[in-house]
Amino acid sequence: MSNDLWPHFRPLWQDISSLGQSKCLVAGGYGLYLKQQFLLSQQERIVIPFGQWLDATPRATRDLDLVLGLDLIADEAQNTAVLAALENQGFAVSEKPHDKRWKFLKSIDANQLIIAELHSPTPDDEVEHLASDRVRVKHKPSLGDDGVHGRHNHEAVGGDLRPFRFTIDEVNITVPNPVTWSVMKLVAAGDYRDRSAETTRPSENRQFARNQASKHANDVCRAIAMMTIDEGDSAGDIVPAIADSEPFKRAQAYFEAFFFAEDRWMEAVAGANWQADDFQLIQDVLSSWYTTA
Amino acid sequence: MDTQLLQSQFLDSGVLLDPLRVEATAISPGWGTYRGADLRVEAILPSDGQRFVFAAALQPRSTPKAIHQAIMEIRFCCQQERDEPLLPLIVSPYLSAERLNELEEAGVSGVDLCGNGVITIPGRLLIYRTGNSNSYPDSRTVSAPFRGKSSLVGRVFLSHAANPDGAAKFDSLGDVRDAILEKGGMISMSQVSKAVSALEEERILNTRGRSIFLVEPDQLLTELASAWRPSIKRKLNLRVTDWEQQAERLSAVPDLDWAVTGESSVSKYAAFSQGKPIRIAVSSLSLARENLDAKDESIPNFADIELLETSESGFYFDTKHVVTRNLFDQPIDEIGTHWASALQTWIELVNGDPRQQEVAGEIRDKLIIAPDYSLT
Repeated sequence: MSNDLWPHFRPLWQDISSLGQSKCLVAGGYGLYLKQQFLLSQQERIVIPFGQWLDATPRATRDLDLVLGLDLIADEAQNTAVLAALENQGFAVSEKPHDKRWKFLKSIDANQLIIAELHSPTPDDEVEHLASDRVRVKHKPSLGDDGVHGRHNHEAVGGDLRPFRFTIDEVNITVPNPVTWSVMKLVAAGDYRDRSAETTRPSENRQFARNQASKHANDVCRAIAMMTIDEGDSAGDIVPAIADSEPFKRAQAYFEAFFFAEDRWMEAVAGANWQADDFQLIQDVLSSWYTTA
Repeated sequence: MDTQLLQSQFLDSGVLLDPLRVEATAISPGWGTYRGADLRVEAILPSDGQRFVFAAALQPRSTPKAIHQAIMEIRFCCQQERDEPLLPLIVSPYLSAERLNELEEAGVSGVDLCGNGVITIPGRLLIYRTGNSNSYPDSRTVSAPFRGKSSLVGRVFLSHAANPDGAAKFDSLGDVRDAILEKGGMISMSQVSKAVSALEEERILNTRGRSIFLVEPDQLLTELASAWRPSIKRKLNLRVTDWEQQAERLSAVPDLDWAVTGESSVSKYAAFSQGKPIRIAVSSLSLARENLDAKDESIPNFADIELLETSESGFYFDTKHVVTRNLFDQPIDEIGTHWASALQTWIELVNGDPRQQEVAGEIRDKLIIAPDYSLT
């Protein structure tokens, strides 16, 4: 499915990134997929060469997770241009109240749907023309049906620091730095894992949460395995810049619980995809960020 | 194992080579005309009652040279005119498939104490059995001439074999040792002597008077490669900004042996890119680290160099003569970088992954036939 997303992603991304390329990132499974495709065509050194991966098949996804810069939401003209780009490419806003104005859907046939989710990091208090609550970050005053919101993604902290830029088919793409990516994925895995343990939830719901937790845990490993040498060097600057943030601390707690608790959950859900030494190396890289910060 | 023990174990078995049973044996006294044989062995094929009489030579050493000599002697013995025609037979603790083939080609039967053997009676019988492992490993060689310091003896012969101006021949043991020392190896005279004897037993070297010749370079290459199991004590990954400058620094450290491994020297001998990190064997990791201007790197794939602490002599042997040539065929000194020799490179590649093994094939051709490449 990931490859099939390209014809839908490409024009949308080009339209949105033309508003200011530095203001937008492709995150989530599709961002990892694109980075992997790029690196496979390069000689660039990464933490674990693809030849050593036990499962180098990118995971399938139907979601486009786009992290919008806060200035893109705050600027009325750019904000409405994002909406226009989505609508031009056939995406329609989700009608669910919780998802409204940050989740967009596109039907590609009777049974298949592509979902584009817009995310935004937490704004500083002093940013003009922005309002945020637990769920969303939006323009102030409200643009009503003419604008977009960003889903309030606390974990996108540091996403504007040293993002990774590359080009596929003449399209310039930007994805988050691996530290931010690990924060997003560790917290997502942890939240789903916590939900899967809630006995009051229906079993089907808990099973879904278990699967999602496992998916995000595997993405953590992939994000680290694909870290380039320059990204590795930059991590030394990124970690201190975000180490005091709440999301980083949550990721830190999940890291410790996943790798070092008695049940060795991370090893159980992701260990089989890596050679033992490589899995240890992934842990060591995370450990250098989360235990020394 | 001595001859007495070999004889008693052979006689106790009662079987020559299944299904051939030993019917009767006689120890050689009084066999004046049977010189070269130790036993008269009468065997029977139970299925049809056919009987065969062998003159058996007991050879407690299973080395190629020992078996080869025993074959010559027992054949000569059996060719002598006598009333009773005798079939030649060798008995040894262990006979490898190579030795069994040699026996078969020579028309001589041979059995060992491990269940391997060949019985060859032209026009009447051929039994061949191999695959049982050697239960008497000490019977094979007098030492391990393909590993560690001892391997330098074989290596120095090969380095001469690959040199268009050289010959794989030395006039004395002293010359062998001198050539090893000249190429950076450290070895005593007694180690040279033992290794030469062992290689002679393997029929890889031959001696005439004091002179020593390499007669089986292909076999020597194969044995060196299969014995290659270097012991690495510690490893350290490092980031460096200027590798050439670091090479100069290492060269300036007294008492430090160092060399780029064969795996990382491959581009000097074949069109093959190994990629980073450059692996460097060092005799002391702490001494090397102290003298490098480098940063420790925890991610192996991000390292520019990887230091391997090892005392394996093969890494450091014959590394100091690497010279490349410019477009005008003038030699360029490579600022003292100790690249591995072509032989060391081949040994490591042949033990490597399938891609490396493929490249090893290209390099092997240059190891014995006089090479044309610019490295001398």
